Amino acid sequence: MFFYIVLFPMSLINLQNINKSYVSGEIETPVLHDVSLRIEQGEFVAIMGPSGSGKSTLMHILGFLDTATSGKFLFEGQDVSGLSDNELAYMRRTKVGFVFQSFNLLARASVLENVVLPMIYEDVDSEKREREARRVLEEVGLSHRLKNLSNQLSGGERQRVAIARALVGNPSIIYADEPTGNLDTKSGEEILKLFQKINKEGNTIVMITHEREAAEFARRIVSIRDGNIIDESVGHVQRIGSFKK
Amino acid sequence: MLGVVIGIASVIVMLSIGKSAEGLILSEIADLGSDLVFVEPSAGDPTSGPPDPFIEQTLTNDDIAALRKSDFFSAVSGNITTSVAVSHNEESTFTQVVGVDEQYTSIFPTDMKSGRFFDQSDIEEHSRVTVLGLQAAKDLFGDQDPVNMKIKIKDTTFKVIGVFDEQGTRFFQNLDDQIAVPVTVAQRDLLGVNYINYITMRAKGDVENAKDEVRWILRDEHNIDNPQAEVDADDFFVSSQSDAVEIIGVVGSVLTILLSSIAAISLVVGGIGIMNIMLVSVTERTREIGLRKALGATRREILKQFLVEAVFLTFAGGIIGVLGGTFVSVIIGFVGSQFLDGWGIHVPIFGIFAGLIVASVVGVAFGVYPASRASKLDPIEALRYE
Repeated sequence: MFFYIVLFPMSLINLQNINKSYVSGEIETPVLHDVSLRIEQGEFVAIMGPSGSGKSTLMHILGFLDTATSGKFLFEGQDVSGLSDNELAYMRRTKVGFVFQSFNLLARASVLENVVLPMIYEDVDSEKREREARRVLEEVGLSHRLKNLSNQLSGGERQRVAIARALVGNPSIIYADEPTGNLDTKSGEEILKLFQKINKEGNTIVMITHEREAAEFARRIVSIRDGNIIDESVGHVQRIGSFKK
Repeated sequence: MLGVVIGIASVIVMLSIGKSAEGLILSEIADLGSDLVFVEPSAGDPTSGPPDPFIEQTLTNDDIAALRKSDFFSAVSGNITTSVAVSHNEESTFTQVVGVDEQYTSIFPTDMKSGRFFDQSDIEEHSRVTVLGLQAAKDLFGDQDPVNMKIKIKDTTFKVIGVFDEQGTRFFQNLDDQIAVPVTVAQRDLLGVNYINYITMRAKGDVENAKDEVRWILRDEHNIDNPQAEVDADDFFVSSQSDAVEIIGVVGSVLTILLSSIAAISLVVGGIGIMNIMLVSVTERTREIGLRKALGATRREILKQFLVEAVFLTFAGGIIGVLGGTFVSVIIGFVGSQFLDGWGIHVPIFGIFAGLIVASVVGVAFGVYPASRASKLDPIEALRYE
């Protein structure tokens, strides 16, 4: 048993030969081909590829929003390949945090209410919800914006709220889908630096992007093209400075 | 929303009117007693419609004499009614003159404000005397005491021998406006007829037995050969207070059905309106639904959220409807009590709860479809929705 653990340490995510294809009518469109990928606890991985490469589909499968057509998906050592709708919802609720390109905040709700939202589905009591929300908002540097409505914030601030929302409940992993896509260079950079900060604090992050500059903020870059993982550049130097060289 | 408001308001008003009508009928019964029996003339053929006592002329004073011989009744009184001009000096009024006999006050107990009521000799001797209702006395005499004064009914002079105390209404007629004269005088001097319009009686024992007794006595009097006791073959119609109550009950239920239909149609229209609002809301909030699903909401939780919102909308409509319905009920009760004694202001507590429950049920019924559409959205598609 000991040798087994040493030789095959349990990865946070272990994809083995994942295939995904969409069927519309008679036509079957393959999106992912035999994708195998491991992501360890504490990593900051960028999945990079042009649009149509299948990176979003990959993230949906990783984030329990979708299921693979075939292949094996181990999450924290557990086989999660054939979960039901409700089991997938449970995994999203307890294990995963999402950050989206277009923030997806509730416009008529305050910053605090937005961050509290995921915990409503986790049956956390209201006192603990607010304490937890305040903690993560402080972490992303928005303690002064608690009562503001989310549509009164700048893009960068909105994405910080979204990151705070992803952080509450201490998920095992955070998925960020083009988190800088709707931001200007400066606030995009701040968001990426925030990701680096929370990664250093122990959070595992998987970021989907098509921009190499953004991907370089991650510790590891996985490139994907036409549904195939073509390059895993483990050894690249993580970018710490700004986009402009 | 408006449909729900109108629907719920209708429910409240319906229950309020029902309650008031019931209270009115109950108070009539309590006033008159359930041992009251009526006899009206009738064509005998039920297909000819309800009996019309002012056309049929089959009842006479001889019938009253025959009924008085029976032990089944404590009092029997014949009645005939006409509307004529009544005058005293320059004051004149057009009012209802009722011909009654001395047993009238045994059947409908009435206090005298002053003077006396008819006695048997007034009836038998065709005395030209009259007893005035309180309002009629005021109209003709003002504050003067009318007893022993003379009034003219048609062209005949009558002596006032008494004034009734305030009587209020009976079956929607204002008794205080009426003037009473001996039935025999009304027949001979005012109408020139020998029939009466109807007979009222107080039964001593079981009312149904008394009704049968009336039938046999009158068949005998009218020479009707009717061994099978078929009510259709008679030339009169016997009813009791409870029959009258039943008829009023039928009228009440027709009213209830009418208002219920309005309520039902309004609620369906309102429900469809709510469904539309919710469908638009589901479409507008597609991304929010996607987000909630991504955060781990199950289908059931999304369904619940939108159902609760639909119920909240209809419940709010229900509350407005309850307030509006209560307001209308109070107005109807107030207006009704101005015209009808015993018509009270009723705000049905049961109706308020029933209305709110119905509103919630409408919310659930018409919220299910939009909510289930929301719950079935694919989170990936929903998140991408523009």
